[in-house]
Amino acid sequence: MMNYTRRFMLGVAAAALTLTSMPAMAQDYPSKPVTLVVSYAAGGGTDAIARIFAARLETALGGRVIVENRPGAAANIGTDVVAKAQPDGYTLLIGNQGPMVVNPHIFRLRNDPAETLDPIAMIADAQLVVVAGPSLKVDSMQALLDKARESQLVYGSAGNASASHVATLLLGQTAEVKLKHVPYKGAGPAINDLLGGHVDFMVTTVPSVIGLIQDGTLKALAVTGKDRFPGLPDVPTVAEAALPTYSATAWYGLLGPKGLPQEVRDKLAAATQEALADPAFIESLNKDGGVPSDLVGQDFAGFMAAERARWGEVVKAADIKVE
Amino acid sequence: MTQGPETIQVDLPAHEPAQPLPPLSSPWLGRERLAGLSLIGLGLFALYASADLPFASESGVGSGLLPRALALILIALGFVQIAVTWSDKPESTGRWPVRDMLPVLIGVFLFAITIRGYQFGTFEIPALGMAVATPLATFLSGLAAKDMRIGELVVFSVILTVVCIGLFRYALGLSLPVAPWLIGY
Amino acid sequence: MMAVLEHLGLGLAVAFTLQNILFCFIGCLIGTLVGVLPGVGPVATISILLPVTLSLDPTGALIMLAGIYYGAQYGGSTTAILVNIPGEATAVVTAIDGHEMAKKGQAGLALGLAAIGSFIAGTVATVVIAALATPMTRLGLLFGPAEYFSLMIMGLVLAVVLAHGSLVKALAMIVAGVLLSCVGADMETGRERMTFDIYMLSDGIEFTVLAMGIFGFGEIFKNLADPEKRDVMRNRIGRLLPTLRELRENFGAILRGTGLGSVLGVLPGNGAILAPFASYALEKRLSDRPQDFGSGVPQAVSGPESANNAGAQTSFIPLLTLGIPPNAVMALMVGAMMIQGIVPGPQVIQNSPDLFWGLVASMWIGNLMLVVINLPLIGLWVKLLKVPYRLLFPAIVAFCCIGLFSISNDGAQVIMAGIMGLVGFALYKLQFEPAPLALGFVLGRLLEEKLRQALIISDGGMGTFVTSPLSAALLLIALGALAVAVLPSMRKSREEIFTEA
Repeated sequence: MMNYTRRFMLGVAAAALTLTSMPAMAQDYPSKPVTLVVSYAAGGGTDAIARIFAARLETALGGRVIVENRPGAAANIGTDVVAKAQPDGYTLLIGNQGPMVVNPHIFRLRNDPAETLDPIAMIADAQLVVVAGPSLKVDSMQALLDKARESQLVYGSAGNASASHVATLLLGQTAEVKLKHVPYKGAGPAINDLLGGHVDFMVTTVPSVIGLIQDGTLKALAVTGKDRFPGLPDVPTVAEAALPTYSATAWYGLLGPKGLPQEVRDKLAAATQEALADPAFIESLNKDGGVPSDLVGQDFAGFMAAERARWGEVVKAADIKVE
Repeated sequence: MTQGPETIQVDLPAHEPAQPLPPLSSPWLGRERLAGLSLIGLGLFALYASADLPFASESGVGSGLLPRALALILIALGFVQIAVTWSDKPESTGRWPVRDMLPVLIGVFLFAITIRGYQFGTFEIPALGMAVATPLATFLSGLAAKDMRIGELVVFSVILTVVCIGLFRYALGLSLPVAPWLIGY
Repeated sequence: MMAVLEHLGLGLAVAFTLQNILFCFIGCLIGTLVGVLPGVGPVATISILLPVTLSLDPTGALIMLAGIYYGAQYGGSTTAILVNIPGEATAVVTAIDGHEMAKKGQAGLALGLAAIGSFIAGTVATVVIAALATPMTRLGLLFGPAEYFSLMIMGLVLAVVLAHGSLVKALAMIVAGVLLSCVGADMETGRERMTFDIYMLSDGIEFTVLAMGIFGFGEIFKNLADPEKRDVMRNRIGRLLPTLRELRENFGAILRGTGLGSVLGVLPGNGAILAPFASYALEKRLSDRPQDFGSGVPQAVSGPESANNAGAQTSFIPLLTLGIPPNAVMALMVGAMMIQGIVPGPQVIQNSPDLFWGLVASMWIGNLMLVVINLPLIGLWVKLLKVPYRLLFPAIVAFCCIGLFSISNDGAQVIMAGIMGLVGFALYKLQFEPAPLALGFVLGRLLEEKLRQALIISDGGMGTFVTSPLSAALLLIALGALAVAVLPSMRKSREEIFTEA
């Protein structure tokens, strides 16, 4: 028992020591492993991108980067964890569209990302694709909207307030048609019901349906970004096909707690840029429907602010606020 | 029968020959009726917990519909349970040796608050990692055994910790804090 | 049929290279390990290994990841049988009679039957995938929200059959399970329900937390409270392997389980969960001693285990033929394929036949590996039970704590499981069975989700559940099963009332 207590006290003392010596020299950064927080459970799309990115970042930074999954509360827990962490650059967040700019309009957040996080650099911008089920028999975006005006169409989504959901909300609002939303838990079951004809269409991530599109089972009507997606060169954008003002993408970026030292931020932004220049990384991003981004620091912050305002209006018009 | 014979039972070491349990002070303390009462209690609690939820939504099934319906069914089942066992001879639920379990509960609790640290208001426990949390949990829960030997338990806790760190952190690569105060993660 | 053999031949040629056999072996070994460890599942393991597979050749990488998946399914049963901790929903059923067998000194027999049953199921399921992948895919698509809802109702009725004690108490446990599954954010509106603003509850209670708490910690509390009971089992070990006669007695259960598992495995949204429950219910109904179910009947282990394994394997069908992952592990397989530059979907068979058939064939090899790895391990596992309980249970506590923490790197989950352990102990004292609670919990989520999806689509019309013939048929089966389960016990209790009066 004595032995044990001593060990414990030693541990406490050592820990206290490390805590007091916390403001490590920024120019030595990183002098210990960096934790990269992912707000989703291991195995999701964001997690996959984070793990590939972490491996590249490790090379670029010259220090260990550990991916840590902190899922829960619609990805808001990850935001909280990083918001409350020491702003020393050793706890970073992979932030994406949902928790960063959509959730503040829907949930009562404990930590508002705009006030508690420092955007470092954007990593990638990922397109979504509009697919119609085999039973709907439409072959263009315009035809889909015409059909939706005749009779109410049902769409599936990967979940309430997911990128797939808000992108479809925006689609309906821009085209001024009323659509019926069926939320699923993830894209997989929704696509299953799309194929079975239980829902009419959906807007989903490229990798979730690319095989079915190439096979001809599902018809890709349009992609949601500003430009066509290299992996699907024949598919027009929604803007080209029907709604000139429409664009919606899911994106991923690197953020840290508010108050990061400028040196650490610069170092991380440069490391991100270096990681993004790796052709192998670009290729794996492409497979996820993404293209690397070059937005850094203030530009990324500005982008996030614009996104937040934009999705705020969409969410407000759809009245999907919780409580 | 007001002096609470149950509590005396609780403190009895288990390896002593089990003494016959004293007769129940009330038939409501019998196992079957107690089971019915717990169902009713759980149902009422669920009704309270879901009181603020709306009944209706777009689908017609609001977030409150199912929890409340289930709570009511649970309450009904509780009454049925009491009714069908009404004439049974009440049987005691036996001893509830909470004190014997306490070391395990404390061990689990300390593991939870030490592995990554925890903040209670101004008091903060730093992140101590697996190197501290694992032997804490092992040692404390081991204290619950009646035939515990302290030396053996200490050695075992240390060995187990080494095995666990090697297995979870290094062999499986899970991102668990090992000893943040010593090696930074 | 010739084509099937030809394809399997191609697949075996691919899978039987030294390199791929090695990958398969490593995968099965890692899988067994993470399966045995409570709380660490295949999902976490595969996502961590995913970047590593980047440097491997695609077929080898997928063979290894698949090996982890069914290895973990199998390893989970080992923990369920030995220490009564079902790491995954599918192992809950195995724990019921499996752990009872272990207590009776038949741990070796239970583990052996699980291994052999799994192997037979795996073999049959491999052939099913090779021969029937396409028609089975269409079956999966028939299940929309309405049909799925009815299937879940049927599943809940089967849960009544799981119970071996009081019917009222079993029903109450199922209802309580469904009620617990309601905790957390509402999937339709995102509104938090019954969470009391506790952050970790906003995504609902983790199944692992519930299972490890109620079963794992609950079992420890139970043993600490009644030390006499656990000491009885420690002194008897029994045979390690089943005899031919025992194998013959279990053969029917294994084949029926395999059939059920193969069909339910293709359903979207993890229909494979139902397979072991359905098998248990079926075996109990067919058995000439249904009253013994729950106290260690071999068929109650071999059947559900086979169903579990067959389902785990046929859940590859939607992935391979449509590119739709039916569960989280399969979603990771999609990721692994994408990383390798293979687009999952219908064209995989045409574009990369050696990968497709190689993977299918490797499943059979993997099942063989599992037997090879696990039969010798049975001796070791059983010896593990010889470790004095005063050291065994602190080790279980430590492993559980680490596993629980690793779910979401959150200490609160560990505390939650500790509280669940007390609940588990109370259930034991009040003679409530935890298995129907676990099933109600698992199916409850799907039940409400599908109910609401179906009603959104039908504009709130309840008719949707009977206008679909498939849905109506499932509801009828459920009704029939309920009548069969309830009527005898009602008659019995009435007789009892009359004799007492």
